[in-house]
Amino acid sequence: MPDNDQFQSFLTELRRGSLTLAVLGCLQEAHYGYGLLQAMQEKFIDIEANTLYPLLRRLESQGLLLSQWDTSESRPRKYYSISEKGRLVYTELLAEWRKMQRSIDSICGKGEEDGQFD
Amino acid sequence: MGNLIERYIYDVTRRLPEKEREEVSRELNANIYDMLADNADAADEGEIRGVLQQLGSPAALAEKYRQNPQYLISPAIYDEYLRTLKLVLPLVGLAVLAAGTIAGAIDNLGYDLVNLSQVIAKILAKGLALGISAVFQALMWVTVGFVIAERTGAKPDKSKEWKIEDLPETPADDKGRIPLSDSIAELVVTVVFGIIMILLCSGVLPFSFVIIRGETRLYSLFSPGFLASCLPAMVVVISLSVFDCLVKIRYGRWTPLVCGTTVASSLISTIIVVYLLNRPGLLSDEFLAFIRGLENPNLLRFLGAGGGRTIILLISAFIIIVTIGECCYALYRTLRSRR
Repeated sequence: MPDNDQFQSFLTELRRGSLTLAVLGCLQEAHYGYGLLQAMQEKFIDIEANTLYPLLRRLESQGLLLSQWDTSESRPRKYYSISEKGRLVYTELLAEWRKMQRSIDSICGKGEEDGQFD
Repeated sequence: MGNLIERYIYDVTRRLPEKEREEVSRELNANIYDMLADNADAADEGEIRGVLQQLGSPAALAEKYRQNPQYLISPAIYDEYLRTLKLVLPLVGLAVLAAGTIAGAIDNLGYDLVNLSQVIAKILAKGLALGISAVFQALMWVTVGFVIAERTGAKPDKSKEWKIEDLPETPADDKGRIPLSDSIAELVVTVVFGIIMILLCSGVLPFSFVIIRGETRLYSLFSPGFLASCLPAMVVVISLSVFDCLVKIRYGRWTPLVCGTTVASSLISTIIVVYLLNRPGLLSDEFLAFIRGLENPNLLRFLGAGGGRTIILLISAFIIIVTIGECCYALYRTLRSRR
């Protein structure tokens, strides 16, 4: 690898958009912050706590997520779930993502053609 | 030990806007305790340190929590900002350096001239000190100017849809544009000059002339009556100029409105200044007495019986010619930009 820092910054850039998609996907059912982190890491999404927590807040303030404090247990937890608007954004983003994936495959690809990945 | 968590949360939230602090603090607290596995309440310090280490630097985390990036001058106008600084700073620095050196010379005329090198050092020190502080002043005011201009809408309107027809002419043909850097430079120069004029008129800085005849003294050049009437006039003149600059910044082109403002502002200012200059009682008694006492017949004839009447007329004529030139320039630019 020619330059590790440079590669890291490309990687961060490449991941940024897909993290939003992954978060919206996971939040089809409600999660609290750390629970969501674990759920994502189980699926091998490489995201750090200090990226996820601020991201959740931002998506909420943009109206894509809803949140609710659960105070029934000994320690309160804030549960996030996807909102109606979030669902619309998610569906469209996912379609774009699939399209992008096909394009990349056909450009860089191993011979796969359009449509084989659906 | 819990103390460490509190300190960490405090260090993050103190960097956030007031209204976000409570919620972020509560949420972060919940997340940290969740991360401390099951025995959160009995976690040892090593575990806490591990979790905080994982969350990373509080400053970096706070940066991620902040919704909009923070900047004083946005990238969109940073170019113009730099260009203005390059224009204004050397100009103001040099002008004030010169003025400061003169002021230093006047200050030091009262002293013995025996130790010449020391006096020169003092004079230069004064010039440099004033020049450097003026550069910082100018830096500050240019920055303030840009910050205000950007936040009050000098930038292009993003809400309008872009159309091919909106493309500007290439620079050689875009005759109507008033660069933001020009207007802000003008504004800064006006404000700095205005402050100096007001200080002079209110007597904080003396307008003075020097008589050396065996001894050195400072006399006031203008009469107190003139200076007193100057003060409100200067405030009006400077306000007009500032207003004109703001209109130029707002529109950024030689539109008829901008042209009208410029012409009106310079005409009114000129009328005020010429009227004040030509009123009787301009010069101080001390100065008139000094002139009458002169033994140089050529100078006396030139100054005339009226105490410098000719000079005042010449100065007035000069001011009027400059004003006419300025108005013609504004009209010319406006007419050219309409094609």
